Amino acid sequence: MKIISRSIEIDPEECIAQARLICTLSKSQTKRPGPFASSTHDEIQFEFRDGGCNEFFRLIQEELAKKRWSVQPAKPTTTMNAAMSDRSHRTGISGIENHLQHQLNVQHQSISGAFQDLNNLMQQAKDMVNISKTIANKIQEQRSDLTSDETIRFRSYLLSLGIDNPVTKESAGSQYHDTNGIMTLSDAFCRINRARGYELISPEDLLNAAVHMEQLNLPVRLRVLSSGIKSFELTNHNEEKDLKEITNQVESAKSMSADQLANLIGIPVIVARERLIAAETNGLLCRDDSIEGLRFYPNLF
Amino acid sequence: MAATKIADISWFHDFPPFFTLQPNLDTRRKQLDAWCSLLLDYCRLKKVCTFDVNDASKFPPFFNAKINRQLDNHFIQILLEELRSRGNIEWEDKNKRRCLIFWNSLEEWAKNVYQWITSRGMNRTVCTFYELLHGDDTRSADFHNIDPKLFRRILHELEKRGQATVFSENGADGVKFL
Repeated sequence: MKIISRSIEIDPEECIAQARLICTLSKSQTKRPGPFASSTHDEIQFEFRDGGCNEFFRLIQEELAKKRWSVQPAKPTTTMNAAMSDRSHRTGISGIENHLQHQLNVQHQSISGAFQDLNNLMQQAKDMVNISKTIANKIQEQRSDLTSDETIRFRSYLLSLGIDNPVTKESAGSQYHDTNGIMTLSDAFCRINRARGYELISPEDLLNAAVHMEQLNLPVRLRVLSSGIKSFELTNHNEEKDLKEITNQVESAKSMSADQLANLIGIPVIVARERLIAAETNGLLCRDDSIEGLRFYPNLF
Repeated sequence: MAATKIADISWFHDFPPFFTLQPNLDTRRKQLDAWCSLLLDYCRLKKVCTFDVNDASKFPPFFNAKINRQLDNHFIQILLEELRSRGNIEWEDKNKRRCLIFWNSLEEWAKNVYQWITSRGMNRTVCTFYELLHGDDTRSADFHNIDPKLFRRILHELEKRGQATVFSENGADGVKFL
């Protein structure tokens, strides 16, 4: 991966300086195949709205130089020596017991070593996640010998790793129902990857999946809004009813801006603006465009 | 006459969206209808017969200080063109700077003037433009104090119908109604 350009751009709509970092991905050099050998979407663009671009740029250059992904994760080797000398006893039940004990020691060392130093943790993150998942399952199956206090403490560690209640897998779904039935693709992308925790999906993956949703009769479908923004909406979404409701909201408030509507019913501003414009196209609302901003009124014409 | 608020002529004038050209074409049609009515009623009330585009920003119907809204130049151009297409204004110059305003059509005006003259029994008398436009006797007439340019156009229309003769004597313009 190479950084090809770093720029500061002024966003004409919002009139604030936005720092941008653009990175290109070069073709994979290793023999390990990923889902794609190469892709036309080979650029990653970072946009910094609140600063931090320079700091991030410095850190990313450091990491590219270190190439930590080529380094084999350090495996504890010290305990192996002790086991080697007892080769003669590694068969039979005692051998199995020794082997299990040895594995537990390795895990214990791995966990304590990782928590001591954050950098090491990053390196061993993949191992950590797998081990944590295993232990999480053990808690559930009540096969471990942890006390209930320790169980609670351990579950809080899991939470901070991004693994919610290990029993429920519906956490992503329940969050979704709070969004009033519509969510932009970028929001969905963030939430899905947060819930997955590992084996993240790429934006391309999400888009490919989205395109096929309606055909597969899923409860969610892709919808392209008039501004070109793609979003997910529930398939039982009724356009006419939705627009009438929005018109009623505007009527009770006498007039409304996209910001106000977004705050009121809990949808993104982009989507609120699109809904208001849709109501205007249907003749339910009319617009007032002045230096005070763009507002919508009930259509009294 | 007590000062008439423009909102009394058309309540739309206090409605902020009235000052934004509506993108929805059906809504826009109704908006333009409302604007044309408002402008013609205002001009009839105040006897405004001519309009200069350079004075647009000072023209009371085009802004409302109470709600802090005003028409932009683009919208004003569209309104003027709409009025022209309805026969309510005529451009005096090619550059479209000054125009004559017809809150009544020329035919309506001709009828209006002739009827007033006939009801006063003034047929076959000679009158000067001045006494017709500004004289005390004509205070109640719609044409009282209108712009002389407009008046001349109305009289020429009556001439075409054979209902009047226009002439000039000693520098004063006069008309004889037949």
